[in-house]
Amino acid sequence: MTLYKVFTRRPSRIAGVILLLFFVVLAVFGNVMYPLQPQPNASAIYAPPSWAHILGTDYAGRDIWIQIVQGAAGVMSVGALAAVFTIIIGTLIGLAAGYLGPVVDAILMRVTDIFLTIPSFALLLILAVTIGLSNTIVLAILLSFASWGGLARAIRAMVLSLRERSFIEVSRGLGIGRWHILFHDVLPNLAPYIVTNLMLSLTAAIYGEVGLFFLGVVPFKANNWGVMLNFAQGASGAMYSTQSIMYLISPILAIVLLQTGIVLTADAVNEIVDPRLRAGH
Amino acid sequence: MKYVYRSIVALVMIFVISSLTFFLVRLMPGDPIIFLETQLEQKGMTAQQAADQIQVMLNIIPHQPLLEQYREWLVQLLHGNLGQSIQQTGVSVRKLIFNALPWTLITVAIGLLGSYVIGIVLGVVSAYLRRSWVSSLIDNVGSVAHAVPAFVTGIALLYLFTVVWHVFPSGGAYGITVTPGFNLPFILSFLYHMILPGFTYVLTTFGSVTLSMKSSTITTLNEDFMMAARIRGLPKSKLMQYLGSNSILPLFTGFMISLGVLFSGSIFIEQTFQFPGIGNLLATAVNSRDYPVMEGCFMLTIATVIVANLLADVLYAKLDPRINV
Repeated sequence: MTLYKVFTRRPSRIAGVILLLFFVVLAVFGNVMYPLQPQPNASAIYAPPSWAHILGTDYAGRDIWIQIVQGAAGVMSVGALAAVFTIIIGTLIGLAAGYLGPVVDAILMRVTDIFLTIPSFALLLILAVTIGLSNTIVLAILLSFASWGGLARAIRAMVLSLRERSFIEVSRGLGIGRWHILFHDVLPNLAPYIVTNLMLSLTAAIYGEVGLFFLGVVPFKANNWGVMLNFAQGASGAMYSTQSIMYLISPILAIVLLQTGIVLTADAVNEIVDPRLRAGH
Repeated sequence: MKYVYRSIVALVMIFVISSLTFFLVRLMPGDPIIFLETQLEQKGMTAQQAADQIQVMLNIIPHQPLLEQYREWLVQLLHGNLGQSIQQTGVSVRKLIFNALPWTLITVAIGLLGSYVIGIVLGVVSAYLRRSWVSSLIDNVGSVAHAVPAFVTGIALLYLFTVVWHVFPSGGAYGITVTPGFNLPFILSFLYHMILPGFTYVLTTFGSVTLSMKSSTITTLNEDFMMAARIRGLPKSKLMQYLGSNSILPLFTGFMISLGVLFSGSIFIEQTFQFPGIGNLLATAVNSRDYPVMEGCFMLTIATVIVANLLADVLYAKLDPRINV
């Protein structure tokens, strides 16, 4: 019932969930639907959309739709992994800073300040080049490394206000250990915020990942949307002809629609997990 | 006295981050110094010549203990020497950076101003209409615009306004017919070239400003002094004045993050619009593994952001007497 209300109050949320599900399906089943790399075809360079090629073909005559579908898996899996890492780092540091006393707090918050202040993408670039991104997990860790600051700060502020609340004080008075309180009393109260943040971290991670591929810093992987965009804007010159427009528009639309889906779903999730918001409307 | 303390903290932060950059580049697998050395030797230099060349470029004497290298690098840094570019042989990093920095500072400042003005207006509108669909439309559009990567927005704008409609120039910071300097044709040309990149900055940042302005406006609207003012029957203009001056203040804390976001965005935006700023310099240096330029850009960007934050903190304390820094 409440779920129904959450979605009917803002129909945009339904659109968001549908968009997100669409990309999840592409990511999960994409490589099953199209197990083979699209083949170059010299006689169909920049072919317009047709039944054989839904989105037309690229500068080498390869099918664009297949590239988008095969790219979805990479973008989504790295994004999801990085978002989870971001949440874990941000939550742990926020909890520690808020609950383990002023010394830990001061140290952790200075570190957080540094990470918040420095332009995260500049840091990401430096790390990407010096470490050298070889696999998905390293890439995800790096992406999360650059973006946990805001969450840690917010979690800390919430923990600081929660620990003064009476139910926590009761637990303390009963002599329950600090770790038990932290994970059984404090953490569940932060869950709504963390869940919503997971969605927003996903958008940030996708931004960073596609960006690294777009700038060509990480070793090129075929079919990543960032790589497609890089070629569309740069080497292939697709940008300057109306004939090749599909090659430019496809990755742009894929990124915009995916991010729109996530943002709108986050809006719904936010209201589902946080009952206080529902009362406010 | 407190400002002295804050300034010292800021200096320490800059120092720590610079040092971290140094150690990061030195300690990573595939040591760039060794790589560079082999590269130079392959070009026909002797081992000694290569070592000397590296010392000039990076302020580092190869094959010395790490701490020794660090000491030398630090001494050079304190003298304002950032080394030389690897790609553009003989050009000092300092010169490259000081040529690029003004462009980025001006564009980022314009972007910041634009996104704050638009964000504040939309945030107040969204707060007043918070029960209507207009508010959720504003919030969602802002969030999506923020989540879409700057280069995607940039390329879309570039395509629309330079390829479909030939309205704006496709790149560069000023036209070829003007001479840089303090003259009207140059300034006009610069502003003309600034429109698309500036608009991209605004589009990608106004969303977060809108959201924080909205929540801070709602908080202020519910404050006792606002209710008291309404009860006293003060004119609307007076109410808006109270509301404005109290709800804009918390945005200053978001300033720090916005600035970092804008500088991050400058890497993409300047790359997309071929703008000769520090972001473009960094992206190019990263692509060609030009370590001295990379380090220099990174340190200087961070120093700029930290100093700007320091100024914002000082200003914040001046504007809001409740804050005792």
